[in-house]
Amino acid sequence: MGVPIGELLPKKELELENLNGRKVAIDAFNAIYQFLSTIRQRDGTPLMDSKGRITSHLSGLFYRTINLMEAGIKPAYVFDGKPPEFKKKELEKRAEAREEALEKWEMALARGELEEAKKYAQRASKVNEILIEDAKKLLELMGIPWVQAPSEGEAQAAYMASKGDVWTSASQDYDSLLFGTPKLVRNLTTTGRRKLPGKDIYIEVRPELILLEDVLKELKLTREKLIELAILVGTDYNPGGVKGLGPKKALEIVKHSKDPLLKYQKTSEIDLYAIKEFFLNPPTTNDYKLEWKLPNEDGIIKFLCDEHNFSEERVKNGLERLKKAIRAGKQFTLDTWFKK
Amino acid sequence: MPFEIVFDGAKEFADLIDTASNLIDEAAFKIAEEGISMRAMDPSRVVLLDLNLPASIFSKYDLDGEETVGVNMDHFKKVLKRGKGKDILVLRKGEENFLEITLEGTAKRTFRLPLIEVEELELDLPELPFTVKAVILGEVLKEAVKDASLVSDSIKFIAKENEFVMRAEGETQEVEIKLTLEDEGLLDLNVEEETRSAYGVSYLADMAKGIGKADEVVLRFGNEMPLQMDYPIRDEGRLTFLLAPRVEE
Repeated sequence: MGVPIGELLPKKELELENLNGRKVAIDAFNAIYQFLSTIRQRDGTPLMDSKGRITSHLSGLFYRTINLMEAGIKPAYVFDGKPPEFKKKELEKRAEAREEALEKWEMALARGELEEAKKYAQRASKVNEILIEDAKKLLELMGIPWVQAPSEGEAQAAYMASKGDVWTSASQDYDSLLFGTPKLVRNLTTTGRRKLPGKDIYIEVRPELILLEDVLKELKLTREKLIELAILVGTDYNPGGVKGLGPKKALEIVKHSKDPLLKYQKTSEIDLYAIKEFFLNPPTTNDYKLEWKLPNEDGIIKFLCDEHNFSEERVKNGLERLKKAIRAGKQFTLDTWFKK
Repeated sequence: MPFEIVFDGAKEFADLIDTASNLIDEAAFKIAEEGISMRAMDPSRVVLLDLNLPASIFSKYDLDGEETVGVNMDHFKKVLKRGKGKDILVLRKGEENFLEITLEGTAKRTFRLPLIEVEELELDLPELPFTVKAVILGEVLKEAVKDASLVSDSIKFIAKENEFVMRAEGETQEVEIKLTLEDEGLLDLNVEEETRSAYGVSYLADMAKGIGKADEVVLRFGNEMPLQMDYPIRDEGRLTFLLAPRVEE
């Protein structure tokens, strides 16, 4: 998912604490997908309640959001709206890949190969409407704001960041930069120890910050040119991009051509110019309010423990941490006044 | 480098270290020709402490070159607290990595405290555009903090042309402490513009702990700005705090 231009971009490593006091617009779909694919049992089965309903996303959302609040971050989650027409192809491709992974998962389970099974189970993760509704309900109970994007969530988050309503947007995908976010934080909802897929190796994942300004300076591009570069390499809307064209070669082409899309449009079934226009001017909305409120403790216990069989002791412990974080969040640190 | 420093009044010194130890776990004291200084920030980075004790406030101040000694504040405090009001305090260090603390009263009691590695805080105090300077009696501040703690975890400082108000608002209760220059507790007030800022009560309580009732405490603050609080130690010495404000609702 997203544009494979990561290797070209200048990044800065961060500690969560460096984001103290900052409002952050998080790509909700992206975060939920990560929780769903990483929070699983050993054989790859997601966490489930007694009725067999998936709860991996709720567990991730609850505890991870508390971690962020404890670091002094004020998170707001931005949910996808209606995908643009030309995303259909990518969505179909993802659905096919999921079907295939699902079959392989079942086969691996039948063979008793747990590691293998888990790998395919992660690939079979699907964020559906029920999971999204659960997530919104939990956020409301926690007093965390969420925003409904008219179209792509990343585009809305980028808009909020460029307006200054949030300090940065957060997503794993680089598309946010194409949508014009001045800052992008990656690894915010994955930070910590993480297992490399398919290997018995754990790596420490730290958040990283990418500044659009640095990216454009480093690559000597305008945002428009960066979008053209992404389209040549392949975006969610034209998966794969131009065959045989890697990021470095595409960068050269974009730099030396006035209209780099023209040549490739002729052989493309997809309207590349429509994609470019969509990245430049995506649908966004001003219809949102960023307010962090006190959690509805009874509501959370009812929802997580009574309905979804979470451990009451752990949830109560989480709530104590959340309330403490909210109290601490009302206190500035001196860093605001000491310029580094 | 060895040194030997004598302070008449072990309890006063203990109170000072007690106050600091509420906010910081360890500290690096710089022992220089001019005197002893220490700068540290609490772990939550909300309060900065800046201590300056010139050589002149000590009855003996001998040293063989500049040195920085790191101590665990809790251990240091506990040892100093063993001193009585009139005991004489001797801080001594030889070639070894120990701080010798002697309390001279009816007997000479000497403790040896291991020195630890503490990173010095290399940070210049920012020049902040404060709009208020108020000088109040230590007693007033201590009582105000206690009053406020009954009703809220936050206290608002509000300064107008001729008055300085501290107010705390809880869900059901409120308290207001009002001072004008006619009150004994307010010794001086300079207000450039009407100013409001809120601070955490528990931090203020820690900061005010070691202040004497009759001490003249200098408060400087601005709108949603840190509070700078200074109070004198034996006239020429000074303990300064910088406290970050609370987000006002």
